[in-house]
Amino acid sequence: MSVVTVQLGQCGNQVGLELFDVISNDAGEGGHRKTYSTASHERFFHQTTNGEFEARAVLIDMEPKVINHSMTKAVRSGKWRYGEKSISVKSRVLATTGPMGGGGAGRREVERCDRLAGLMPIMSVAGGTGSGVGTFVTQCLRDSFPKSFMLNHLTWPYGTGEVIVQNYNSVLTLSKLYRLSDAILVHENDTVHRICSQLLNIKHITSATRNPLGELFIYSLQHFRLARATKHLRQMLVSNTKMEEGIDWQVRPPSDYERTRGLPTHNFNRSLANLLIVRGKDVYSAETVVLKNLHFILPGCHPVKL
Amino acid sequence: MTQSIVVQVGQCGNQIGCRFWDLALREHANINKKGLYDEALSSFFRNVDSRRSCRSSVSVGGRIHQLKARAVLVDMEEGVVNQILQGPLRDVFDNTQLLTDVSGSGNNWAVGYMTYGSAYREQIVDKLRKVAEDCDCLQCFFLIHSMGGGTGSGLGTRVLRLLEDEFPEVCRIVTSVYPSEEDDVVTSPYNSVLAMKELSEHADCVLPVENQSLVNIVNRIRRYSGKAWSGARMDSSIISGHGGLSAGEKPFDAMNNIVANLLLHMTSSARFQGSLNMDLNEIPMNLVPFPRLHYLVPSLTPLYSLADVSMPPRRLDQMFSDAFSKEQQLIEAEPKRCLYLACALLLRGDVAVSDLQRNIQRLRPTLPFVWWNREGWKAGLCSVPPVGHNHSLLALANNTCVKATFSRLKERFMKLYRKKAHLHHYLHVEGLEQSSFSEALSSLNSLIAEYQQLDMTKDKVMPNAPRLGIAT
Repeated sequence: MSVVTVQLGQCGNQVGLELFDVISNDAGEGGHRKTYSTASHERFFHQTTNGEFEARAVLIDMEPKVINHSMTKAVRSGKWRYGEKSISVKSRVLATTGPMGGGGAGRREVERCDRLAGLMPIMSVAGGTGSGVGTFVTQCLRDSFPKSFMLNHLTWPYGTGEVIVQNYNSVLTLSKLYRLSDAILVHENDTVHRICSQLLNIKHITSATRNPLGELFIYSLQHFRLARATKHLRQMLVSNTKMEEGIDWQVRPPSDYERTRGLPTHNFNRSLANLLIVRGKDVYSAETVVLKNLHFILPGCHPVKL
Repeated sequence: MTQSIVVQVGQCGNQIGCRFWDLALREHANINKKGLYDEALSSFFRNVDSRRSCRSSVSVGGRIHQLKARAVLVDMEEGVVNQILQGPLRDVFDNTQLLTDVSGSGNNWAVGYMTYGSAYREQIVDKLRKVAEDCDCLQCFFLIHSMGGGTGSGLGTRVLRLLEDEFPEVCRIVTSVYPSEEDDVVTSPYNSVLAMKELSEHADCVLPVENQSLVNIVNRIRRYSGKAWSGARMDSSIISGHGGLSAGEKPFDAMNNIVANLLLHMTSSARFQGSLNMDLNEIPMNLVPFPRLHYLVPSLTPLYSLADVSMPPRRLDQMFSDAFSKEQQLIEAEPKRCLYLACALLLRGDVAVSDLQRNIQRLRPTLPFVWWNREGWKAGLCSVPPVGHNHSLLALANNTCVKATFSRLKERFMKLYRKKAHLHHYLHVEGLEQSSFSEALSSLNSLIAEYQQLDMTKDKVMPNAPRLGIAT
């Protein structure tokens, strides 16, 4: 079961690079985690005849600087690299013909998988390539692989702007994506920046520190025992906070009385469904019961799947 | 990788261009230690192996043989171009890129635009095509000229029109040097206003630069460097050509270096890598909300860096504050007193996203932005710093303060026009009529009025804006 990642534009390529790095480090070498390691590698990397790991990725950009940088950085890690044929860099003149190279490379990657679990385009919504070409590529992928699962990972720009027309680009992107995509995972630059500065105490935040998502959430719950962690998580979910610090413990889900009367509830998270993933030792003893009886929008619907 | 072509017209344009190429070579020499012809170099230079035919270019990745600038030099008198060809930059240009005549335009826009424009049209287009053919992916034309003279303003704006006709999809960024109050050319108001009409209609964006501001900046740096205790690094100030090819410093070199540094800085993100790239086509896209309002006020900081490495580098935040102060702008203007329509910050060197965000948050309350774009910032981060600095910042602001420059220009124009002084020199030129003057004047008036109207919306939120028609 393999996942093919499509990295679009500068942001997509930068995030993708860090993602493969984190996956590669997380999978580890083997030893007592051998099954996990093999499965992890199989899902995201293709093992060549030399034993090298090639990321199952297609890199698309309208100019070569970032892609070249990603390729060299990957090779320097020593553990994995990008395939030579996975790249599609189109000059501006040819951009109107559509990323046919991207389509070809995408098809090649998919064919190399034994079984395709899904496609994951990674892009930003503020810029031009990530949002525009990204949406076009998602459309092409959807046309070529109508039954595949597609998870779009979007980077939401800083509120105070990285690009002035980001509002136009974001709205236009979302209008197309919500019809094409099966799931959209959003990470906001503002939130991630805050996590980096407040939780991780990183003073000098560059895009390389912002991108490794996986590490952030692993870190934020590192210090607590699992029981306490679930309690914090529950309140973070209820009060819609993205960070452990500054959780508002006063917010609680509405009681049946409040809900039937339609009384307003402030700062309360309205979600349809949630997925909880627990990793590590003593996973089975985790007290997830506290998360079970949260009704958000629909009563009778258990929104937390474990 | 995209390429850009520099078109330098007239004496001012060619002198600035000369400094630009010198400083560009210095910058690349500083970074490119292996002597390989890389992508960054290819944006402004061709690599020619003269053992084969002189037009054959060596592709990226090979060794550097001979670098030829992607440029076209136009001047209606030979003096300046000949000086370039006799100087250390002679090998950077070949004969097919030059166009000169003997007698000059006589400080007359009409002679430059009408007479020479028509006479040399075919040749200019031919030379432009040749240079463009050598580019894999041409993104932008940089036109450098002055507004006061005859060739720069007249022929320069004619070339701009040609660029629009022949290469409509290529971006045109124009650097225009506006005359100061005590300009040496009496008819400069006429030339400038006539040229303004062309700029408003045919350029994608214009970077106006005023001679007076450049003089002030140069004097400030010299005053600082003149002090016995000053420790400014020789090669780091934006007026210095130290480390470049030219040996001595000619008059105006210091001022021209500022403009050359401006162009280098603007293109740095397109040439070198960084964590937030900003390509040249993103500049008009983000900074020009309406087609005619494309005048971007530039400001460059820091002006110099200290030589003594044991002293802490000038605080980064100070650099951001300086970029918005009125002394640092390249035109005589007070942007903080007027209204910002959009602003771009291009950082070079060792600056992180967190520094940028922190400073934007800090400065936002002090800067008045237009009501429909209160978060109107465009950011670019390039990891390669300029020569002599650890980091530097270019701010390009679309600000209504440009209307002050245009109003002053209009006043000087009206002083002459009311008396019809010197007008006959223009009217004698075939192709120019009285109506050209009145059209140019009305174009300038409407431009000033548009900025004025936006200024009046300062501090107000316009209620009930009509809904966009495309949403159904």
